[in-house]
Amino acid sequence: MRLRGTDVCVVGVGTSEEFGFDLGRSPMRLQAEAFTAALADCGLGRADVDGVATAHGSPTGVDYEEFTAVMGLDCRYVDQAWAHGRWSTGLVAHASLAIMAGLADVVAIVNTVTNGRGYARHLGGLGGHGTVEGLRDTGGGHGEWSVHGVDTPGAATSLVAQRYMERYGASSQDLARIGIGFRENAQLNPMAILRDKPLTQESYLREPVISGPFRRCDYSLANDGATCLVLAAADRAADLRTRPVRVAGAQSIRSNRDGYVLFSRPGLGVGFADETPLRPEHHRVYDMAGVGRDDVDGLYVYDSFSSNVWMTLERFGFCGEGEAPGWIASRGLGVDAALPVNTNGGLLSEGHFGGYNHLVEMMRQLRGECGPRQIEGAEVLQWTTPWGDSLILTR
Amino acid sequence: MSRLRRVGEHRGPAPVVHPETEPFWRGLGEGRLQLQRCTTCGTVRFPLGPVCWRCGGFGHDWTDVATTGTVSAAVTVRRATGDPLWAGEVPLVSAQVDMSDGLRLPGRVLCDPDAPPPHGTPVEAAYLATEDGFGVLCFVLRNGSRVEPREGS
Repeated sequence: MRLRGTDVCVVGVGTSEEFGFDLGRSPMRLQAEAFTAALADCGLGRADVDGVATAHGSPTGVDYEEFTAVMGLDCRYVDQAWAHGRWSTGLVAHASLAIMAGLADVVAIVNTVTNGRGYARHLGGLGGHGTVEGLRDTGGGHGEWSVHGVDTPGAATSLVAQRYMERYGASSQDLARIGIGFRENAQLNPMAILRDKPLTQESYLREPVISGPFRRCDYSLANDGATCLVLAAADRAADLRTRPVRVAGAQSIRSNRDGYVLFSRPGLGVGFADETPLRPEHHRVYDMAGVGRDDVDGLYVYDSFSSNVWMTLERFGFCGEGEAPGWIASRGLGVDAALPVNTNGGLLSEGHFGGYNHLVEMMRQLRGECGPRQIEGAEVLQWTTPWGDSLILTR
Repeated sequence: MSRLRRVGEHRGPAPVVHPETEPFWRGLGEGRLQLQRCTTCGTVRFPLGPVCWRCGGFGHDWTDVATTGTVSAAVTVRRATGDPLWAGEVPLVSAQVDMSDGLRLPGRVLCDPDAPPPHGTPVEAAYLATEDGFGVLCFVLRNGSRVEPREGS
């Protein structure tokens, strides 16, 4: 295989008509809405799409072959990842490489989530991400240990937050600032599921405690909805009616014993990772994009749980070890902050769409379409997760 | 190494026991905390696995490991949002424990759920018996460990 020396762009984005807890529409229907909206966004037709990639939604989404069959697509490139929200970087990077390698011209990255209190209750054979993986010899897909009562990603991550808070002296008030900040961002986003549910320090403390330091609003939402991103080579993008956004840089999840899939960071010492001082990492995503961390105009974090934001800020060097709570307290997370974070409201308040909703938001921000939550002059936006993967999109 | 005390019955989901990992669970059911030790480099490993993560060696024997340690982090799980088997058991305290020989092991701490032990609290390994004669690792506060209730826990 030989790669063509071409840039790859996001040329179109779309979502289901709504995001919500119970929309009454099947995963296929939601995904078809998002796909159709994304094609309309960039002016392409179904026949132009020759690649489809998906991370099968958790717990219930749509498999690639169902989708191509139902949508009447004829694809020469498909990719499907595990039912987790952790593949957003991978799907975009692999779709970009597929385009560069000539395996496809136009790839639609389509993803749907439906939850057990939404449309998934009508469907059999829920996958779920608790018990089955939790009984792996190595522990669950998020470091959970079902056999010891830590049988959900949230309970496992509450151990991460607990260790962090004891090690660095962070408080419940610090934790609350994350959910509150994203809830405020959500109020400016008409798609955000919790846009009309204000959150304050006082109301945060009234939320029921679920595990460890986590209250309800430290958890991302379980919801229904779909997203679609359309990728194409830069020359193809130039012919389209919308302004494309460059996939400027990528780096994968880093996977090793110290980076098990927990929502922790290396050095914190949770799971079987070593407890050490935070060691600076070299993040090649900046080199590939030709930008520095200080050039980033807005940060998008995989916030399945609130404490992920602490892990990610420190792992990517936006602040030092143990400094994330103070960084958030002094700078804020809103659109007017020095570095806005999750302007869409994040998985905590817009909804949990695997982070693909953050990528949709990044595209819209870079096209200047975000109205009252627009980051002024946004040119460089970064997607990050606690696992160390990242994308940089540029105008 | 000292034998673990049986401190109750395991009521959560049964551990997945397969031939390669059976000695661990069987050992616990007999009050022994034993893990795989690489016969090439001597590394004792956790989690269980067929290969030494340090040297790649396949050979191993089972060796008794330390049964005391201190809490690294403990949480009270108040709502069982995953496996329904835990619904009748919450609130429960679960922790990761830094054992005195350097391993970090997970397990419940049988203690007041309103007072989950803070980092550094001395604990001792024990086990909960399963119906199949296996055991599930857990911990109890060591003699003299007193834990104050934690706000918002």
